[in-house]
Amino acid sequence: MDDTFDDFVRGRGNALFRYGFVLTGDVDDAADLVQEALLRLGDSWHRVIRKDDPEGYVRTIMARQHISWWRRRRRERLMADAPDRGYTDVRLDGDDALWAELATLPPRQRAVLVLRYYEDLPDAEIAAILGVSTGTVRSQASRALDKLRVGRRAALMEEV
Amino acid sequence: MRTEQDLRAALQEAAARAVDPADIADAVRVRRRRRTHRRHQAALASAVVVIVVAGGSAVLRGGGGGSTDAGTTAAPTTHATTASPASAPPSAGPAGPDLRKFLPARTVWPDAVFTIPAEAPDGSGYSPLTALSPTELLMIARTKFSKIDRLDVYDTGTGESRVITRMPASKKDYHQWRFEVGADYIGWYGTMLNGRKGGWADFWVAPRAGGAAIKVGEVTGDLSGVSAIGVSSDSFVWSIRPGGVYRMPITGGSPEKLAGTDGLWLQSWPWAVDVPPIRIGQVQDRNQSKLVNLETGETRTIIPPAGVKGLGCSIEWCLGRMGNAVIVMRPDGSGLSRIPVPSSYLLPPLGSHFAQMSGAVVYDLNTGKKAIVGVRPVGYSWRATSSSPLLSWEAGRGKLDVLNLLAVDG
Repeated sequence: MDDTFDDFVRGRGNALFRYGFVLTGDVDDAADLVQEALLRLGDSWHRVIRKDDPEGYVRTIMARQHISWWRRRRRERLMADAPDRGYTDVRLDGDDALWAELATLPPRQRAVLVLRYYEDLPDAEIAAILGVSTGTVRSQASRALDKLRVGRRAALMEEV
Repeated sequence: MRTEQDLRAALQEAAARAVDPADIADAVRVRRRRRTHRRHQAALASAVVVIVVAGGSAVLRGGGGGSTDAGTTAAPTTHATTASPASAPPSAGPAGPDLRKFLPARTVWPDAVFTIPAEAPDGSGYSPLTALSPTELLMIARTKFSKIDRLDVYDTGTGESRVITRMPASKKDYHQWRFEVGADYIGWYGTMLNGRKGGWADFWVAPRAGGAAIKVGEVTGDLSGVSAIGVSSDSFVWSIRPGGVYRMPITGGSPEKLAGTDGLWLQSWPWAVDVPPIRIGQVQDRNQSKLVNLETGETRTIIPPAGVKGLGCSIEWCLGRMGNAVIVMRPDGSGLSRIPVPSSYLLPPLGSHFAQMSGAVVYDLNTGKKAIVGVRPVGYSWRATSSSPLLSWEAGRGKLDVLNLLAVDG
């Protein structure tokens, strides 16, 4: 460990937390995700700083971890039969409605959209990050985009 | 029909609105430490087992139990940092203080907390770096890709900002790590995020009054392992991780080691100390024993009280750990007292006479007043500068709250 890791965490922590928040849609999950990813980054800091790009490394861990945690947590939540934590104090219009509907996407589809539209990454890079083919990235993105439009109509219908 | 642009906007808006959690760096520090502790426990437990087995005794369960305990607690289950007001305070541990009993900084120091826009007039993201005066904040303006674009001064009295200097064009992976404000110049250093074999860093300054950035020089090898920086009237100054303080003339020239600085680390120019900076994942047990003025050569000797660990001093105050308590004293040993806020780790003093405890509590060492920063018990932002007299946190809805400690005494 050295000071550059400390500096990296201080310098990039909040930006990574925001990335975690758009990935997960939940502040607790985002905080967990970023801390866990930074712990792992810390373990391999010397290797990463020499060979790779730590920011890319930690963002990759976060995207992958989000997908695997989501599966586990979903199981836990289903098994615990927890009541929906779904309340919101924001008005659901425009961006807010779209944000809320992102929560209806499976985690990989959401990750693809975040990497493409929040991180502005090309599909080939997204494929490398998630460990899938470029074709999968395209099809997941396409399904997610379709669903967000359908999801919006469904939500409007439910409101009536 | 929604467009891809709407999606971009929704994601960015949500990210901008997310209330920052309490310091992620501290949370990671604490988690690393807990894990190390657990590993030690596990190692100890195994050692016990070995000894017990060798001795042929039947007390095996003791060792086995310890081992199981260490194993089952190893899973990361806690939300050490969260933006939820109901959850435990970050990093404070199970015995941490109930942060709800502290008053917010805005109530305690109403003239020192300001709400400022989180965006510059041109739409760049704003993060406060430090306070230059009771009304002037030095701001980092970032592009939407989080690249540092320029330094501004924001006046909390008038609500206006002006550009101090623009960051020179740089490669994608270049990152400016630390900024430090000197009497005449603001200095900073950067490295490549992807690393470069053997290390590399470059040093810059800009006039504090405003003006173009001046490249001081580049260093490689050990000299690029920067632990702290400073700017004197004519030089860029830095210390390196193994210790030792160097300078390079602002007008350009070769790096030169300051005489007698072996085993010293820059704290805040012109002061250097004989303990390395606090690092994530490590607990500093060593006590600082001196403060050295690198301009005048003056050395102040610090005598740590018995039982104190991790004593660290600025020229005004020292903070250290004694058992589970935090103690403060003047560097000359006077004014020794306990801070009535438990904290599991120590950060260097903030500004001239403040301490930050348990992540979100700010304690005025001169008056004993304390307050909580953040939205309820959460959130303050990172510090990219040493002993900055400023803390900031997300206020939501495109605003930041700033506690300017220079305005506390006003």
